Amino acid sequence: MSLHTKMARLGDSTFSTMEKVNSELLAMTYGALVTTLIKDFQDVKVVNTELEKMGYNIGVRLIDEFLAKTGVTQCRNLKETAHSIAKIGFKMFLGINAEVTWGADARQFSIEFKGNPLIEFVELPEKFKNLDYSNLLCGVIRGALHMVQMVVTTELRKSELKGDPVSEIYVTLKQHLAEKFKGEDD
Amino acid sequence: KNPLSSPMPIYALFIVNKAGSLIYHKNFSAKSRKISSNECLYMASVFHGLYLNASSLGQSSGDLRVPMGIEKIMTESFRLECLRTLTGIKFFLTADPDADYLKALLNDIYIIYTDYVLKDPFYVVEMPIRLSSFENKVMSYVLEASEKGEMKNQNR
Repeated sequence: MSLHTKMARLGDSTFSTMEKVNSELLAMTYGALVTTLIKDFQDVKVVNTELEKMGYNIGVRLIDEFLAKTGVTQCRNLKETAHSIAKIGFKMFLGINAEVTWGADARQFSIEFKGNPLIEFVELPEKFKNLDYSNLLCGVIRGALHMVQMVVTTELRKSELKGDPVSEIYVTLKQHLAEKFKGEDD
Repeated sequence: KNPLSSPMPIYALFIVNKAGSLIYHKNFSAKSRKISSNECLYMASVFHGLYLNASSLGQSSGDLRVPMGIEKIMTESFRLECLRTLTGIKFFLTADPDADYLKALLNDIYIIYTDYVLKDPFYVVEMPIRLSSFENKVMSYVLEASEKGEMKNQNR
């Protein structure tokens, strides 16, 4: 069985053990959050940044749940990391199947997905066409990877809300952090 | 029935954050030697240091993987088992030398931590844990694990 098949199976099995919540409640809560942010900040760019920051704060906590409940051990390379996020992470937390496509070089990849539960009832008005509605997810990935010593930038490149056939999050690895050992500079 | 009144094969749980500071400690056995909270903090730091020393003793695997450190310490009077997460937290349990079921329990405690501690929005990551929901859940898992474990050992 290929590693990717194993990962997909792990994603499915973990998803089945996760406690579920009504997806409409999630969609509506997220919608209320986004519209409140728009009301408060008025600027779509600022809202995008705020959503990403919130996502980051979620990601730094979510990574432990991911690791604890799936039992995945350290990924050997960025490809494994990418597939873990797409096949296991997206499945267990959002219940959707995501695909990895490789980017311009070895340090960049895309995660493509459809059927994002957050956007289920959303229609983006013309005046908010630059709003990255699902930017929270970009932050989650950035926060989660930061806790396992990877500094990345993420970008919502495509969105079903903007007319694209799929949504796409583009991830670029900036650097690996060496574990800081206390006493190293003593 | 007071859970702490009967002899407990599991002695204590320590949780140490990335920086090496103790963020949680709980004694399960009434027979545990009473140690002050300062002593606990100190011991956790010492263990953290030992753990790092042990990881640097291992061979470098060449890639970027985090070297693993101490998993188990066996002595005549107790055993210690440690789970280090990829995010740098260490969970370790001290118990009776015959308690060979700690690995699964450590993983369950990690899961309880991700649910009851990390999901509390008011909990600041890396800070001491003072959450009764977490305590209660850990206590029930520890009790269950020790009961099951003891039954298995008795049937051998």
